[in-house]
Amino acid sequence: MTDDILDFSALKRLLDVIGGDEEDFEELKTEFLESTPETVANLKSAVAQEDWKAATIAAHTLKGNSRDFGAVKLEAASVAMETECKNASNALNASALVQVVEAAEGEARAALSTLKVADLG
Amino acid sequence: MANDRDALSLEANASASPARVLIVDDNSVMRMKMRKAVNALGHDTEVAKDGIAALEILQEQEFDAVLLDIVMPGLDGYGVLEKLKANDATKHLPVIVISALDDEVESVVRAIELGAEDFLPKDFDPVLLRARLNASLAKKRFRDQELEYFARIDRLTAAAEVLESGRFNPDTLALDDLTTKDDPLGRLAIVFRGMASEIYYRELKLRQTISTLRGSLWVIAIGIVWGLTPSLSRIVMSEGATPLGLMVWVNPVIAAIFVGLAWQRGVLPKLTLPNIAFFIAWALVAAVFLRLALLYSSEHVEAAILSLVLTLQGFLVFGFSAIAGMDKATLRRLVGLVVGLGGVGLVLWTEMGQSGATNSFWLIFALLIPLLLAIEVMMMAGFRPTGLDDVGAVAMMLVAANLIGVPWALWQDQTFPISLTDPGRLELTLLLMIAVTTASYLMGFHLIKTAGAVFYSQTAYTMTIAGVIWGFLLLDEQLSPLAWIAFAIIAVGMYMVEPKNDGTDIVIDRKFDRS
Repeated sequence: MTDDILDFSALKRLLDVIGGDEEDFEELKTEFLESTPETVANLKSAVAQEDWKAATIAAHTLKGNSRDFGAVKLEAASVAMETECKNASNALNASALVQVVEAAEGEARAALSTLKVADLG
Repeated sequence: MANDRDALSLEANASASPARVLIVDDNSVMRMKMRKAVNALGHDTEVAKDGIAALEILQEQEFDAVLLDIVMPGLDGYGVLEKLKANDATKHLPVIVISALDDEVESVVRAIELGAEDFLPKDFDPVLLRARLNASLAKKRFRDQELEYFARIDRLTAAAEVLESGRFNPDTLALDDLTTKDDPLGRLAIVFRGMASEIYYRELKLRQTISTLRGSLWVIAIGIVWGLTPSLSRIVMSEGATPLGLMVWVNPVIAAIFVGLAWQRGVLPKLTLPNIAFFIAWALVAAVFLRLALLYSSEHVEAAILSLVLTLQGFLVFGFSAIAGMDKATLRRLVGLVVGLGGVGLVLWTEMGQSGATNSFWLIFALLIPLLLAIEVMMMAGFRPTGLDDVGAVAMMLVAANLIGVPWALWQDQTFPISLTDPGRLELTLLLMIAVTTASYLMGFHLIKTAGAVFYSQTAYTMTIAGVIWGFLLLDEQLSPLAWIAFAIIAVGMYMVEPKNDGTDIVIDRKFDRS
């Protein structure tokens, strides 16, 4: 099952990978919800300072985590962001992409914060 | 060998047993995910949030595998790999790199070229994780077993070299832990050690026999020489000498001989306080009281009987040694002690029954001689300061004895004249006493050092035989039938107080032929 924001099959795979324990899943989700805003803030600051290496690492982290949690929009935005930062060609494009990442992160966080393991079916 | 390999493979494939896995990732969510995933497979985990932290943990702890992220701030995954592969302690540790495959194929290739064992995509599924982790762990375990196997072969080869050099002591082979392994190498180690033990203990027994024989010859020699003492004492006393006067003529000469020998060899001991105290104590026991007791007794007790009483020394030495823990007290030796004491008791009982009260008193007095002899032997074996040379020590002891004995004799006015220009029986006997005492000291020291105090105590046996025989030859003495029976009982007791083992390692001068 996939909606616009979350890919439930990715979430199911994540639950499966960690052994199927609901408490473990909740703990991992909490870690994602708590760490992601900080990663986005790091990305924003790195882009502002045109520190492309730090920005690439932040985008890379967001990409991996959003893929695990099935946050499809955030994943797509992070992939684009990482490519842009690796190339480090256009600061304006990067700044625009940060806004897209921020918006996707907000949506994903909202969707995940209300998600229960039982919803995965 | 084939069975052994099968055993290795089987063990290596048994990857169900828990392993220790280090997870290295700067991303806290990914770290937590991997930790939970690996724990869910039944393994133990440790995490590091960057490359530097990972290297520090790897220095302190042992792991079976590493899951390593490539893209990290600071020291990245490539840097960690390079350091691990450059270090002998970690170069065989399997590393699985974690990579988002979509745009990092080149990264994975580079990591594998740097020595990574395998890779996993970041969004791995549990089956893939299990398969790749177990494959790496199986390889690691197989390699560990291989290394352990080769190490055991090295140990067996080293043991073979030890055997080839002629050392058969099973302890020097250091194979005990290898013999506990139930595989062909373990069985080979058991055979190795078993054969070495067999040869070693056979040679040990042979060496013990040779050592006992050599010691026995010394025992006989000392007995013959020292056995002259009671007869010489009796002769010299019958020639009009006085016990204290003899100390003026005999001790200074022996002292001069030993001081001369020690000076020539450069072994005169340092006069420290403990050394001086020891020399004085020894001089009082051995050169003053013992000699006086012997001389006074020999005036009243026959040399042969005196010699039988002297056997008490051997039993006293064993008794003292056993109490002080210096020698092993076995039941056999204890029985020997009781039998020997019974024999000496029979001599005393027989002689007392045949003589008057005066002689009985001198017989009891004569017991001081074996007691003082035993004390001297114990002092030599147990209380002698370390680092003292034999000859030097005797020299200083005799100097101390003269400093005590000569003024005492002069004060008591017990000196007697001798003639150096026209020597007679007295002068000849004095000369023999000097020679006997000198030889007894040198030979006795050698025997105590090489065979132990208990073995030395058997000289009392030969001293007795020699003493009795010298009594027959020189003084025409006779022993009563009961005294002969007592003699036999004492001999049995002596036999039961056997010599101690010197416990040295054996090197057999024989090589194995390689061909």
